[in-house]
Amino acid sequence: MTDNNINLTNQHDLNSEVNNKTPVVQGEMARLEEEELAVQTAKNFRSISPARMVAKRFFRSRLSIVGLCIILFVFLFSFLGPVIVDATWGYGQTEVFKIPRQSQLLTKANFEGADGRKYVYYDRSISTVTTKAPPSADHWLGTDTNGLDIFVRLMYGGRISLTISFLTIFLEMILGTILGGIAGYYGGWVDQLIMRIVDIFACLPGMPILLILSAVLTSIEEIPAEHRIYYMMGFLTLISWTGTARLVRGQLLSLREQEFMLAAETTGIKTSRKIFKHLIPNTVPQLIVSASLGLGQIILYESTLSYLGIGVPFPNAAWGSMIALADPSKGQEILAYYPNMWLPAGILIVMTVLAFSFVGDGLRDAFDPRQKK
Amino acid sequence: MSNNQVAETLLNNTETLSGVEINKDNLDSNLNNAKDYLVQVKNLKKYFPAGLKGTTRQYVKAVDDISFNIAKGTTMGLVGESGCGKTTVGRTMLRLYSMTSGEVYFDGQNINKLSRSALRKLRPRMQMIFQDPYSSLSPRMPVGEIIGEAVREHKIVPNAELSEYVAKVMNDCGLPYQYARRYPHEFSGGQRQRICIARAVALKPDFIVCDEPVSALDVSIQAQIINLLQDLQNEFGYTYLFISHDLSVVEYISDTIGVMYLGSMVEFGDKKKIFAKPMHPYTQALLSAVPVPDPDFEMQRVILEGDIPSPVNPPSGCKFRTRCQYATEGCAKSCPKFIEYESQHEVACFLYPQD
Amino acid sequence: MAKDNKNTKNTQYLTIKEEREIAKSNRKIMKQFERTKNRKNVDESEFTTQMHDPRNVIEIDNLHTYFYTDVGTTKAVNGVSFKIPEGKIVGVVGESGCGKSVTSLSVMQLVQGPVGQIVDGSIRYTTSEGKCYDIAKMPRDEMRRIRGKEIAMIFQEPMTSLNPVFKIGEQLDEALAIFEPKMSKEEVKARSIEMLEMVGIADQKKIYNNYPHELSGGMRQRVMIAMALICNPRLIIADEPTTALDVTIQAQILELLLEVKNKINGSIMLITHDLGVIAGMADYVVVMYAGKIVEAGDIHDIFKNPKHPYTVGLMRSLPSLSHVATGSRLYSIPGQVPSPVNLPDNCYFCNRCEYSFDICMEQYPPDYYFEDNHRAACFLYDEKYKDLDLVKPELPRNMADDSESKMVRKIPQGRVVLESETDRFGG
Ligand SMILES: Nc1ncnc2c1ncn2[C@@H]1O[C@H](COP(=O)(O)OP(=O)(O)O)[C@@H](O)[C@H]1O
Ligand SMILES: Nc1ncnc2c1ncn2[C@@H]1O[C@H](COP(=O)(O)OP(=O)(O)O)[C@@H](O)[C@H]1O
Ligand code: SF4
Ligand code: SF4
Ligand SMILES: [Mg+2]
Ligand SMILES: [Mg+2]
Repeated sequence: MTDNNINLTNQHDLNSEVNNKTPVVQGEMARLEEEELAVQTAKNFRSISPARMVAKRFFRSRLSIVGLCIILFVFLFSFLGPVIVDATWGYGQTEVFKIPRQSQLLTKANFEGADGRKYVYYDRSISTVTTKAPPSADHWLGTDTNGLDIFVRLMYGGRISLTISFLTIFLEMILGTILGGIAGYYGGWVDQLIMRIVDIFACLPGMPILLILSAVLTSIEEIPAEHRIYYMMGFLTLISWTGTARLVRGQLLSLREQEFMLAAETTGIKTSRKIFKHLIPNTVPQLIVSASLGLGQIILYESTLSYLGIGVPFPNAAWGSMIALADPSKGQEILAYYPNMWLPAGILIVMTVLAFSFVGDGLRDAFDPRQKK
Repeated sequence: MSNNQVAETLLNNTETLSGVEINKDNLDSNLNNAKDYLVQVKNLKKYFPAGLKGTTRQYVKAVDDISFNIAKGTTMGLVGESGCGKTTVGRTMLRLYSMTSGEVYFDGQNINKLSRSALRKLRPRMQMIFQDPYSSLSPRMPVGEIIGEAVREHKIVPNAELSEYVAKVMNDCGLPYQYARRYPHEFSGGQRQRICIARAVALKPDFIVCDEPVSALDVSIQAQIINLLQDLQNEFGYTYLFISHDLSVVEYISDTIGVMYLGSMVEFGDKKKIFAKPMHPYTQALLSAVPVPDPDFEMQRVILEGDIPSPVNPPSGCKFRTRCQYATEGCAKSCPKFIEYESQHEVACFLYPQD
Repeated sequence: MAKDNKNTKNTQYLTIKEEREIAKSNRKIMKQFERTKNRKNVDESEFTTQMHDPRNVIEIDNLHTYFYTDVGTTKAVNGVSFKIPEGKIVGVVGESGCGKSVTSLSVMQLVQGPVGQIVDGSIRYTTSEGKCYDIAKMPRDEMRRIRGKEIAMIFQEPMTSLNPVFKIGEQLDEALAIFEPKMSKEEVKARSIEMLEMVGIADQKKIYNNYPHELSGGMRQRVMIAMALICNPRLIIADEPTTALDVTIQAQILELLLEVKNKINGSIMLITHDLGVIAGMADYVVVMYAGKIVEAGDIHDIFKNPKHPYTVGLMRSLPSLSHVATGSRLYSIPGQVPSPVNLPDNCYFCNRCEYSFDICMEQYPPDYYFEDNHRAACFLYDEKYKDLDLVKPELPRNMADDSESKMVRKIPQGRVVLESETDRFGG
């Protein structure tokens, strides 16, 4: 073999340069370690990591990008905003501004004169008010009926809305995952029991109970007003974990039949490990989707409660209670003439709820492997 | 057991795992004679409920009265068409499914009588390799964890040596240790099957059920995996139950072979005897249907008519009679007995004397 | 390949920048291809050609089918040439992912667009009217007249190609009605039932009214074959028709395919990864690896005198009788099949090949011809390297030799004489 170690280039006119620095050794590659083979394969074939695949599919949809931007904006607005305001202007959500302003008061009344004709009575007078200032350079959205800066209160309101929603969702997920996990893993009567509990909770009418609960809470004097909302949200967790539990249970029922669970069973590992290391991690994508869809709902709930005056107590701001200023039962005036007081809060609620839905939908499509294109 | 001892057991892999107490009550006195058999299956039945017909509950008779023994250090092949209950036999033997009736002895213990915790302790000694290398690995767990998880839990090696041990096992199975941190989806089918094998082998089992381990793999990868299984057996003395529908692979790897049809064993025996002299008409048809990679070879094919009947309503008498060309009236009336006609060669068919 | 800097630690994944570049170029290329394919009223001369040999049904010449995927261009079929003579069965073997299905889909012009495109090459086909077309250049509209009628396809998983909500009969009738609009309803139904009978379905009237899910796998595959045959095609492409079936059912289906081929006097392109199936069925064999043909030839050349190290390796890795007899280790090809993305310009088999030498790592080998159409793409057979005394792959004697193969097992049928009985006869 060594004798035949000839210079190929001289003998034959090959396009490629082959020189005799390496002797002709057959089977060289076959002796390479498996490992090197794999590295060689990896060199010419590289794929896209699964996380990036998800990101790619997520960003393919315009709506999810819009949603993500809105959420980002709302977060910065509510969490960074107050900090900046505090640093630059030096006040918070409870600072009362007395901005004197000439206001034209117009009183109008209809009456029937003695002559039997109809008259309209007008009374114009000019008075000085210190609240309900219109938007200005100092107070971008003006002040409300109490002379509080609306723009700043929007920030604080967002902060509390988001914090409470995330807290609630988080608790709900934990509760739902544990109970749904147990039901799905064990099946049988455990499953039956938990699912009946779920059924009961799922058919409780949320809003009326919350109203009653708030009345109860108000009557208990030991509970400070500002803590009430946390109790309410705690209760909300109690009635809304059922969705998560159903989701997790359904997932586990199908995952349980997968061969890797049978494999885990053959290795004889503990049940808790099987549930929390093998099963639950596989439901995470679905949980994320359901959480982001659920967040919008919780924000709506919180706003409703605040609107009804049983949520975050005054003087703390909440988007719901800011809209409540426009409550038509207390007169049409604010609704008609001061959109700056309630419209921004309304827009923020709608935007945030929509944004979480967009992102949730986007995530669902992104995690779903069937949605390849 | 001291660490030294553990380390020793580690080195002497041929030793069976200590630490599992043999429950004396479960020892059947009859079985003491048959010490060579690691696994004994007696009259195993597994029925799956399958809806109602009228008011009577119907059952899929996936495994219907099967008995066989596997000697220590040997491989038993289990063949048959899909749906004939091979997988169910394997899983019921390991008590992954609860059995309808019957007994399975593993190393002298009736595994059906073990308590949950005793069973959990016994688990590492009986392992399984699955057909589908894609669905049998937890997708969100790195490979090192998949292999080492149960090792840690059963304290097969001291915790300090765990990563070294995993590296050794991976190396034995032809996987570079650098891969320990990767996730299953980053591997090809053949490599995934190696991971499955490593997971089983890491627990130092005595008995491994290989459920069609190469059916999902490419031809060139198949040979790699079969060689790996054989090398491991030679080194550590494993006992295999090798389930497959590929007769040429089974013939190569097994010592004894069982042929199943519709939940029943129709022929069982030494590999050489079964392949040289298949006695049951079904075995003959199965063998003749195997394509031979040789264009000059003209085989006299026994083409079976029709399909496998449903296991919910199997034919009366001999289950094979609907497709058997030798069927007589007697075949429909009663079941042929499973009789040993030669040493290590049992058949159930009325073509042969029934006494 | 771009010199990625930050992500070098993870060689497995593409960088975002690379990914974008790939996506951009893909879009451009795909748009162009789609436009040509979607043209209407194309002059027939544009895709009319001449058969090189009139005895062939189809001639595939230098076919390239690429997929413009997110991770790069997958050269699924990368220069494949072979032909199918009239009345013959050509077997295409290879492991999964080597481009067998894509080759067949290209012939049907069913490659999944816009990602997949026939990039180069020609597929010459003569219709029953005697016109010769180049399928690779045919616009979509024109292709409809050939697909299904002239060339039919049978897939691996019949369930995916049968519509689950329609009865078997309805689907058969519909397939026929498309190509034979003049036929009356009764005629169509009669023909459908006749087809079912032809594929060996005993209870045709009942099956005619069954839904696909009510049938077993083997039955469904029979229905698929009936559906393929309904328009008397000249070429049947069977893509792994028996892979999902049991051996006993596989034997039935293969038997049926042979029978049917003789009845309609057609040709079959039989795709499979099972060398055993090929050996029993094919007249010619094409061995594919990573999108290219590594060896092609007459069935006897391939099985008795294979030249390419991959072909030899495949055959040796099957457990044979001699393995069983001696208990020797199986031969195994190290490594795994490469993915056909960004393959370097060398022999694609070189990192798994026992016989590789220097030149293998620098060029892709051309085809070298042996007797009668037998060809292999491997440098071992280059005259230039004759003096190197290269070791060539060989089958073990007993596999290559005709005489010894005759000793392959004889399977008794029916009752076997027992040991005890032979004893009695003093045997
Ligand atoms: N978990 C199950 N529930 C109900 N029926 C089952 C289950 N597993 C298997 N079967 C049925 O039991 C029979 C045997 O199945 P299996 O053991 O998987 O066969 P094989 O492995 O030989 O292909 C089949 O008819 C199948 O439908
Ligand atoms: N629709 C598709 N999109 C992208 N890549 C594809 C597609 N179809 C096939 N491929 C690629 O083409 C190659 C050949 O595939 P195929 O012809 O299906 O192989 P096989 O020989 O197993 O039939 C594979 O690497 C596969 O990844
Ligand atoms: S018992 Fe009868 S039907 Fe069954 S295999 Fe034997 S001959 Fe055939
Ligand atoms: S060209 Fe070289 S590497 Fe390729 S098959 Fe032939 S000897 Fe092996
Ligand atoms: Mg099975
Ligand atoms: Mg294919």
